[in-house]
Amino acid sequence: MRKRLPTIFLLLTLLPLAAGLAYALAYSLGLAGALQAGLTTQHWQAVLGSPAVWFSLVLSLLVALVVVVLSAALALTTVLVFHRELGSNPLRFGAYWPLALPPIVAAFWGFQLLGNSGLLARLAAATGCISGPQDFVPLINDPWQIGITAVLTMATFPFFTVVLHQFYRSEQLPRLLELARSLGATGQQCHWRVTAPVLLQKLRPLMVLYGVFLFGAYEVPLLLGSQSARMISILIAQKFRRFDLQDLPQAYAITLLYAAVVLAVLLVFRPGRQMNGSV
Amino acid sequence: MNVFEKWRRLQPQRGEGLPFKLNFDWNKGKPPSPRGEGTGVGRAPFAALLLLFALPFAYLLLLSLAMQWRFPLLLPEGLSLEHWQLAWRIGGLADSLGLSAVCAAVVALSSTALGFRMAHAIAAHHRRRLLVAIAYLPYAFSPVIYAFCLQFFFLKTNLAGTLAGVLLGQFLLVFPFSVILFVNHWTPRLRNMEALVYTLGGSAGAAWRRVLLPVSRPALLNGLFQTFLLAWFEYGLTTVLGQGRVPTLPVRVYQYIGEANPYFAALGSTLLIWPPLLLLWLNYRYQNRTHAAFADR
Repeated sequence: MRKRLPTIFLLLTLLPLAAGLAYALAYSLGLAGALQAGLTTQHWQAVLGSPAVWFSLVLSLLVALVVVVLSAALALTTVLVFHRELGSNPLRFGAYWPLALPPIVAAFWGFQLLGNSGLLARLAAATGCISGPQDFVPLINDPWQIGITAVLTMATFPFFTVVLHQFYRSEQLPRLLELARSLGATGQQCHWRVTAPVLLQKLRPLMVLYGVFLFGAYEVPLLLGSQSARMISILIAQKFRRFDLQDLPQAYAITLLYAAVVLAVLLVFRPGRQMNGSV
Repeated sequence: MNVFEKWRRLQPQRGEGLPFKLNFDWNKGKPPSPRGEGTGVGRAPFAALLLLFALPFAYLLLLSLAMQWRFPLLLPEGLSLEHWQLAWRIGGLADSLGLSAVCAAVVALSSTALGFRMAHAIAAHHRRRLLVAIAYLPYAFSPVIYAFCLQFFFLKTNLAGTLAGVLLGQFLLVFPFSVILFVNHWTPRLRNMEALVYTLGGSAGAAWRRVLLPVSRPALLNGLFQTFLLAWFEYGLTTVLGQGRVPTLPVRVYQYIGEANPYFAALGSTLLIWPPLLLLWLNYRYQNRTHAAFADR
């Protein structure tokens, strides 16, 4: 039984994904599905020649990158400023609360917060900055993806904060800082030359992994994204859900493009192997 | 070295697992020394930050209880349980809550049990790194896109649109995470403890029953908790493989948002976020108690 366990593991993890991707490849090449008409590359040509597909891929990568960088910066600042409170304050349990927010609720909360009749708009109206919802700057369904970026950052940065604070203690940073100070480092130097590099180096694999998750984020762009600028998961879902069956081969081709990007990132950065800071 | 310190040394050493360790080990480490930790800025700004974190929880609860909350009012015009009663009676929220709880519990129990056992085998395998890398693939994939890849096979096997199909789909998503979570738990020290049982004449069953499972109880509870949350929060895969016929709580919340019914959506969201918070709190209390018990010895 014990020898068979790795085989069962492969059957449950690799086989479904590999089978799904193989079917997607066959479908996109006209070799499977209801529309199969023999080997053809026309669907791939259509996908690779489509500006909308490349725009979605680049947009998704950019959103993921911006969210990860912003979240890491916010989390690092929070840990630098509140490390003592995060470690010993009786209220520190509150720092874990955002971990209980699922993406669909985060998206709904973002809608309620940033919408043109949302909480921020109400505050703006109460302070006399705007006279009605129409005056409020559009923060959701906007072409610049401000709403998506803001909500994904709000959801990601508390998690990074919790993890960074665990690193702060596991890496014995207080001792390192004491050593730095005894060698003459100033407070600022301690922050930027000791704490930040050590924590960010530890956080890097998680940043990569989270970047991959955010690249394929679905719920938040579904609710807060614009119709003209779609993230890749939304584009794929829309292609799959259209009534026109001619879109299905393209949907599978875009899925394979997405898979190629995810695999490339995982292969290049290998987030699972960097736990101890060694790349 | 006390027992707690010894236990900590049994914790993950090798680097193939999750690139972070979120084990809710609330009390690990000593209280910070004023000199060593630099400058904190005090309790008031920290409390303000926590208030920001708590704002969605309070806001969504308030919205679910609001009778009317029109622009530009900052607070609802009145509070009542009307939406709760209505949603409970005709909205099917009770069914969705039960369905979500059953789905998450089944997926969490099965993936934790199998993931724990599988991680034991993988940790000792000569191709450990490769197997762990493979576990990352479905876990890193967007669940909704993964579901579209699987959809054909689920349709062929008549699993699409059924509870069994959703359970299987969620299991395929959560199980690799469980393996990643547990693989670092199997340290050489723990394996040596297992070997010692065999050396002393114990059977494999005895090793698991008397040593491995008791020693691993905190890790198992942590794994159960995290896998439960993953399944409880799942929306993308459930909506594709369930085809709208398995209305778990996240699916129901999205349905209410689509119907432009913010009060019911807030109600569903409240039901979705408060149970995990309760679990988080219980985990917090459990870790505190465990820590205190170890410290007393």
